[in-house]
Amino acid sequence: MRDKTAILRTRNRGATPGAFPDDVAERAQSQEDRARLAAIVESSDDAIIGQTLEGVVTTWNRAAERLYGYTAAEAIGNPITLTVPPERRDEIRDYLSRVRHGERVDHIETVRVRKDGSRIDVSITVSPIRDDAGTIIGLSKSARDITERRRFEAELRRKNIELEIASRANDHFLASMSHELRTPLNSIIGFTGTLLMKFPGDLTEAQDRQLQLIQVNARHLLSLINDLLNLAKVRSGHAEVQREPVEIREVVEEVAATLWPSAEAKGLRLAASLPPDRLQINTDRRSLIQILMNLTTNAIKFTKSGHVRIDVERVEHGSRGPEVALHVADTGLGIAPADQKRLFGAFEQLHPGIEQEDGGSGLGLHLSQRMAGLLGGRIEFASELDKGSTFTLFLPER
Amino acid sequence: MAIRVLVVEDDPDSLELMTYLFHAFGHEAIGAHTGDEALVLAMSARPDLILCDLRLPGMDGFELLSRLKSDPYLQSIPVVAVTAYAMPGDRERVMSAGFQGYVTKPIDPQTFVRQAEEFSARA
Repeated sequence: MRDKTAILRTRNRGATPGAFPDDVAERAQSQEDRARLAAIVESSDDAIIGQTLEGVVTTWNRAAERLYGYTAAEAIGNPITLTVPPERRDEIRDYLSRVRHGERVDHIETVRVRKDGSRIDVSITVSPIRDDAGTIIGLSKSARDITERRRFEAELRRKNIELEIASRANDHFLASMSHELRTPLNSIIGFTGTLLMKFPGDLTEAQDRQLQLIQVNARHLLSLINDLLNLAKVRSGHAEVQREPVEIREVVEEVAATLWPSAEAKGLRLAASLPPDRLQINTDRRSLIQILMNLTTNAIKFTKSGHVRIDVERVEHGSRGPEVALHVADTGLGIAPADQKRLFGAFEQLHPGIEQEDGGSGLGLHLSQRMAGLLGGRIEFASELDKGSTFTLFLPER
Repeated sequence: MAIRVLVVEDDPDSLELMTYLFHAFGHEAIGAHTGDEALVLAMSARPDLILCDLRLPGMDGFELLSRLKSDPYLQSIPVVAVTAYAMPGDRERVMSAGFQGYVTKPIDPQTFVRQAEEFSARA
């Protein structure tokens, strides 16, 4: 019976002739070790094949039998090229020479042939076997069937491409939807406008009133569409966040300048304060402006008298490092504790009458909170019924 | 000062709205439904301003712009884009393509004509 672990037995060159009990014990121990090693090799899931330096098979474990279809009896004594497709023969020459020089050939992915002629994708590692003196006396090759893994990788690649295509289709869809939805509104808002401007002729009071109602609702519809499309983009991960250094002062001034007329129209004071030093953060400018506009517009909308203030401060020890806090405080209606929970929900309107008057969609705060999240920040608020509210946008400095 | 505007827009109602507004404010307006029509009309009518929707069937607004700019007779006419701004980066794309400016859709009937007048004056 062939000793399958023959190749693993090192030639005992240094054995002293006439060795005594020590040597016997040593031999017994090494036999036990050998048996243990043999068991490990046999039980391995990877094919482990011993070869001579010329590439002739000397050992062949059970996994090798399974992988290649040849039994140990059939394989041992034959050249390893038995398992190599003709176009890959050079590989053998290559790794044989490398291993003879003491190199290890690691995880080469290649193709082998089974006894039945079928091909398999494998990953092989070849290492030199040395004797006690360090001389290379053979090689040990382990081979693993990577067909499954290959299939899995191809599947993943295919799925990624599918996702990429779907994502682009979604982008295209959103763009088309945006255009399709806005086109009819062009006519609705446009022609109620021309009628209200009395270009086609004078209007009775009732006509005027009713046309205004149409226009208000058309504007409401428009802001719903805008918010929905923005939300769709944010949700599907398509909202692009372009970070650049942004001067906080500029942003606050822009928002204040834009909204000052509507605050003044209601008799409200709109003021802003900033720290004396230049304050700059790395963020998406458009999103920041949109969020600040939303918070300030809300403040003006829900305040009957008093003021709306935008105060900016630097928070050295924010919950996540240095932050910038933009507070929008008003002396408005405030928010009842019972309502505070649903404040950031989509389509939540605490005062539908007031909301719709100015074309609010009920998505503003929800969208703002999500956008703040995209920028790495968040919106917090504090409020007292009939006293006022303060909404704060926190953004990381970096 | 009255100007002659060429409006390129494939939605007939939107086209009617814009030409009506221009007339109401004392200007002259002609309409084209496609980029090809626009090129023909621009040649024959020599407008002071061209307003062009970005999404047109066939030749889109960007292509029309480049055709206009590569024609020596037409290249000095300011072209303004009318757009819904669906995608991020749209504004940059429009400005760097060579449009004089843009008007967002849906247009604001009260300020639309004044905006167009300003674009025409600035050119």
